[in-house]
Amino acid sequence: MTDPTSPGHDPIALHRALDRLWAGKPGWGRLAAVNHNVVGVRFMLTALVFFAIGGILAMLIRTQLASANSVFMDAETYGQVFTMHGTIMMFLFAIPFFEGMAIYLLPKLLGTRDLAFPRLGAYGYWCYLFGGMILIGALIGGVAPSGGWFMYTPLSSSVYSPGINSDVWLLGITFVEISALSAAVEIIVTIVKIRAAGMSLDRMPIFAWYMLVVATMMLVGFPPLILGSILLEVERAFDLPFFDPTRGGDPLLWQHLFWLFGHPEVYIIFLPAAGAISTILPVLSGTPLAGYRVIVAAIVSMAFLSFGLWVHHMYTGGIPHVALSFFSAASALVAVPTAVQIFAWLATMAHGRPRFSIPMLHIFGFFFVFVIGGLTGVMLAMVPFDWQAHDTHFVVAHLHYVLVGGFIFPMLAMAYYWLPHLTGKQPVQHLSNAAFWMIFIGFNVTFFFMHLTGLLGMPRRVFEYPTEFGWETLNFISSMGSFIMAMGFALVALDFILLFKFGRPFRRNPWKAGTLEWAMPTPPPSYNFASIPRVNKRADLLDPDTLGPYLASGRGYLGMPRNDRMEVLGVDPVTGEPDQVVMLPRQTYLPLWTAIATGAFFLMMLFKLYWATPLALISIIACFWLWTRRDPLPVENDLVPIGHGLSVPVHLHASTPPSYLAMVLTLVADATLYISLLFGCLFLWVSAPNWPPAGFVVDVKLLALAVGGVIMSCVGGRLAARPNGAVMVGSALALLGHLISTGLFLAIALLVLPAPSGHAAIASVFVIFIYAALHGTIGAVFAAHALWTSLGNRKAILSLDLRIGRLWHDYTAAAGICAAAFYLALQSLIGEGGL
Amino acid sequence: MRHPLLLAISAFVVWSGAFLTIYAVQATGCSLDWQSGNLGAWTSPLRLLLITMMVASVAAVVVILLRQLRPRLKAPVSETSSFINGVAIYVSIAALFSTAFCFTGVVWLTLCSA
Repeated sequence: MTDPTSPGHDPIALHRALDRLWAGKPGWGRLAAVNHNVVGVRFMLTALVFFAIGGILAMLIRTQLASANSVFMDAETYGQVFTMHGTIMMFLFAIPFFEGMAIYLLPKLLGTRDLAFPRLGAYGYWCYLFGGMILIGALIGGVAPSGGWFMYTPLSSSVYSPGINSDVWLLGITFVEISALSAAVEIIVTIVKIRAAGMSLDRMPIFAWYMLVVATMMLVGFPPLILGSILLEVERAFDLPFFDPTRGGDPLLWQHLFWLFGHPEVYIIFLPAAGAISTILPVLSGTPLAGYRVIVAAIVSMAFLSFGLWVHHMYTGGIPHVALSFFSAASALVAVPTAVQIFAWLATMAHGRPRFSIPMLHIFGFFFVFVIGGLTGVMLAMVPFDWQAHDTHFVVAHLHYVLVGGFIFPMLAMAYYWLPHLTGKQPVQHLSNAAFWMIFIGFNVTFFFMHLTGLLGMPRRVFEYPTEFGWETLNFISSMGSFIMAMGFALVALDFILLFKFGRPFRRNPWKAGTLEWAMPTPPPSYNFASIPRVNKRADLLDPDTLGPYLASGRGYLGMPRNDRMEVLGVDPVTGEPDQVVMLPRQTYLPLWTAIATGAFFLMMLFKLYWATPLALISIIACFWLWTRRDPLPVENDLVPIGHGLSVPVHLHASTPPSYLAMVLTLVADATLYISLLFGCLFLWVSAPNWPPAGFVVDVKLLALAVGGVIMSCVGGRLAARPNGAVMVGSALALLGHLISTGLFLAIALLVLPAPSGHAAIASVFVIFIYAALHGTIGAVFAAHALWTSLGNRKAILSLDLRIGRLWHDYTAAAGICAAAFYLALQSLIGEGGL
Repeated sequence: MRHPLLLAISAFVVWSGAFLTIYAVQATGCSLDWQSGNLGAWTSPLRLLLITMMVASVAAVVVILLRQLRPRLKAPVSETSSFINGVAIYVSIAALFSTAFCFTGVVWLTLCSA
């Protein structure tokens, strides 16, 4: 370790040392890469491949609809094509692309070297890739899902979709969503804890605020979809009738769960793009972003409001007027924070001198298209209008104006803006203008006329239409527009290839930006910064031209490799002052192996090899167990120097290490799923036909014993985690409690309850008890791990593991008590009748 | 400044809780036929309950907003505190308007018929 201020300090040696630690391995070693630069680029490139596949499917759709009574595709093929188009664009392109963008950009904008959990990012990527491959494989094999990207029941139930098509969607998408949840946890923890020194909340780059809000939305938005997918798959595989109205289920439950995810999803896609615009536009306008504080408030408000709109996809579903009014009002209100951002961007341009470069051209495209989409959105938010336009091509036009306007144009703007960073080359831009205008004109020709087709009454999702309805000319125009747009995207692809081959080299910071990603060499080294900066003002008003050489010479923080460790700064979430050094894991194949084990589980479910799924689950647990192995090098118990006279503890001894925060966030997502499950089951009691069921009784003493078990595990976990606590006794108590409660919940679910296929009420109790048992099983693994580690006498490291374990034991206890209370409450409500 | 980000969003957390609770109570009330009773001047116990919940949620957001406005009268502790407090006030104003606007339908719209 060399002091960077000492005369003997050599910046070149520093770069070599850092590169040796952080850079990936060649050949097969690439599969072990966990670095955010590699993972981020992989996410984006893979998403673009899926975008191309989704685009080709869109062309097939437009070819089919270009003429009346077309015989280009039959109904089944068309169903698969339009379902896969929507599924790919939403789940395999839009979300993963911005995940990749965030994974690549965030550490740079935050002035750090990597994300908080590099292995989690790599695991998420492999899950995304394998899940996407399952879906594309099904498409090639002719067994792709065909019930629409929303998978409405009962169309997607086993009665009406008996093949594996719907299973492919349910299992493939759930597999892919692992990557979304892992990215959400990783992004939140990174923004909250892993930043440059001095980067307080009010100095964070605006993009970080956007991503903090988006990741939080993902954390609570995706669990309802995952729950819905699990319940529907369980219905299809084991005949548990959650969505079957003849046995106490309700198809509307699926719609609630799907749209509880599906509408916030629109904002989850839009907000990262808006964050990029808020970053790029001030640079291209040569002035700071107007209304930074108001924009932060607007995106927070938008995030909340977006969770109050889900029923606006279900206005025609027979919902009482007063309930419709809640959702209609929220749907209209969400336009206000959107407008606040639009006006802030207009004010920024008005204050500055906009440069009409290629990124700015795409921002113009965004303004034009997105504002039209927003206005038709307000129209559709009004119940009477929606009743007229529901399920017509007007809605298709609206959603494409919102999504293409809100994501594709900003994506192209950010691609042209940040490609020089990624490649170290500036575009030659011979094709960029033509490509933009072809996309812009093609898009508007395609989708503006679709509004009219919809207003003339053409329904969505039909594969043919008769000549006499008068829709053919408009459809033909739309199809011609779509081909112009497709040629525009092909030109963009060619433009990027030209950039990679013939781009012009440039000196640092070609746009004269004030953000930290330009304070490093381009393309960026694997460690981003040779030393970590201190930020004294807002992180989009800095001077990268001065800061870059300063950091490269190692004169910031951590400008000194220590014990061959990959280190970043951990900071106080509010003030941004350093409070720990976070040691990151080295390259490893573990994320790949864990994703393969996870994929094996999903494939076994898909091919109904249920007997083999426990093997896959054990493999997954074993792989994650291996993640907990730490570097054998000793960890300092004292404070360690980070430069500039500051010393902080290593994260294992800090009060709020990243992994502790990650567990809190994981439990938030888990609790969202559980609350959705409990509410969903109560919804069935309120709304579903064929209630109440024939009586079913569980011995309350057994339930009380199970609750006693979870309380014992909670007490044990707390005993073990106390400072100088009884680690072995506490962990043993926790293990015993989990084994008792898990055994009892499983016994009640499998042996005491009547067959859960008989009625949705029994199925609800069954699933809730299985949930409690599953958490008890994982809790037992935590307790066993603590016991195992304590036998190795690694007390110093153990305290963090024990605190994380305590969180799980506490949550499991709460979930177990709620499971028992739910059964009692349901029995009481069934006794009350009410229906 | 303990959990300042959580304090900043507290008004919208109230809105979210009110949204779920009012929607759940409306659905449950219709299921249990609470809308057809007669409670003095009120045509239905369900409507009275929903209006009470709406007023309570508006009052809760007002209380949060007033608490956030109070520190502005004193000298701000730091730029960061001032920033978070400013964001919190904007967010709470938005939540107040949203709470009042979203639930007013409980006063006059039909409660259980589609």
